[in-house]
Amino acid sequence: MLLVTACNPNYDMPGMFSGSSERADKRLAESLDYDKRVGEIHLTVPENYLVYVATDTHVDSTTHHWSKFVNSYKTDNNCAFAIHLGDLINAKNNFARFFDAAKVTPKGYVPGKDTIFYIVGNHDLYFNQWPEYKSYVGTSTYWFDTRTADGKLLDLYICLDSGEGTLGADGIKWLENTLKDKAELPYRHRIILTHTHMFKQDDSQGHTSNYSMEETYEIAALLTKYGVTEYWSGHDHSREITTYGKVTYIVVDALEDAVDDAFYMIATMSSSIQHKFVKI
Amino acid sequence: MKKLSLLLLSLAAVTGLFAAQQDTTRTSIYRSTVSAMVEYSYNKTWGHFANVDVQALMPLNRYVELNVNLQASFKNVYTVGVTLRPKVVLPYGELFFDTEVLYKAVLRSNQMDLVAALSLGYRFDYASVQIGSFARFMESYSRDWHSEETYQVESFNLLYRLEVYCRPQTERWNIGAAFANFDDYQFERMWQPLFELNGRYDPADHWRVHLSAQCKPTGMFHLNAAFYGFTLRAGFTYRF
Repeated sequence: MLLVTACNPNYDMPGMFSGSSERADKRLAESLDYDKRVGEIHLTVPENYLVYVATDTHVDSTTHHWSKFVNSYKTDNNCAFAIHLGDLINAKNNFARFFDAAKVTPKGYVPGKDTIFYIVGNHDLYFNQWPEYKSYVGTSTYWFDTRTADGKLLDLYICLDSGEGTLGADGIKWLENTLKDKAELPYRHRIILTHTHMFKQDDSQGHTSNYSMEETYEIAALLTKYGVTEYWSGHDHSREITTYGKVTYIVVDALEDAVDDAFYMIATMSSSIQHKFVKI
Repeated sequence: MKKLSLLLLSLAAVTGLFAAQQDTTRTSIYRSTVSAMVEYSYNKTWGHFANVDVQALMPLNRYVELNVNLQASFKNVYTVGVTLRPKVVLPYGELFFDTEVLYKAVLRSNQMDLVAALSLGYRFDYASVQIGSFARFMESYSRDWHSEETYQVESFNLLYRLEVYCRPQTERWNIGAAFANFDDYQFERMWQPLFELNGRYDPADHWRVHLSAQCKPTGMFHLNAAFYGFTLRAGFTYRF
């Protein structure tokens, strides 16, 4: 079995024992350096707006579902921006195909409605692909917020690199400091965007790995302490919405072409958050 | 919930000491034991810290034994585990059936983690294998956290342990290596294995010293694997 798996070029077998990409703390340092050069991101949006959320597209030789998602968010006048929660690609040499599909201008495109944020997933790190991912996206850890045209703060989004099953020693501190720094600001919602899910109550727990228990306790406590509203993730490929410590944890379905029941999520951001799951 | 934690810890301590006092035949391998260990640990989430462990093992009779494990961590985490272990001695080796409850009071983050586990194992001179399942219930202690759904239940997790030894268990010293997703003080999710190397030596009939090292990687399956943490454990056991 291992031999057969090892012969499959889509499996990073050595990476199973020691991941080939840079470690989480190194990626964090490089990301924060990039964030500093780029500066803070504040998006001007209406008070009520839509966010399109995709995850686990695992682009390989085709981009059918991913292209449909791109077409959908770029033609929706109410979409403020889109988010991809990680595992953009499946294995080596697919980033170009993925980002080419992301650049397409569909018929009915609404000018200026093509903002998208990316989160790194484990498949984006396999085969030492962090440098390539970085060349396209620049960072794996950052935050941005939304404001109205008159400067009223709306929602805070914190993007975390959990592709390793840990945020890393420095990543945990960065998360706490970021939440602490913004604790007094009157954000309507605080949202965590990351790849790896925190909880999985159904039997598919055996399907995908996530954080160690120590990290689970710690992140859950931090999110509750600083009033995080929701935690959006992918990784497990099957939808689950649970609440723990006043934080809603959402696992969004996979959007990969190989999945028959592929969904993406549309979040309606207002005084509350409504979630709609759209089948491709 | 904090009172419940203290009550459980006290009950476990009393049970453990009681268990340790139950003298069985000194010539038998079924002897009550009490152990004390200290641990030095590191992980990427909590950093460096120390733990103190106390364990008691009491054979209730030839077929059932009771095991109580207590751990206090300097990271303000307290653990109590109770295992009732029916067992059957076979012509070669021993079959055992573990029913375990492990309660972890993670006071540093106002949470509790309760695990109930059932497993079947077989051990003989050179190896021990154990497989089963466990359910996890997590809840927050803080009342102001409470909403309608403030708990998490992970109803099914696979439990596994494979341990090999270089010598028979009856020898005065032994070295073992283990691959598992749980130990006396933690139950990790099934894709979060623990690797352990352990050794023991019996300097006298009543005494045994232990030394072990455990490594916990992260993301070994389905994530970008990396080192996460380790634990060094040293201690002794007194056998009644």
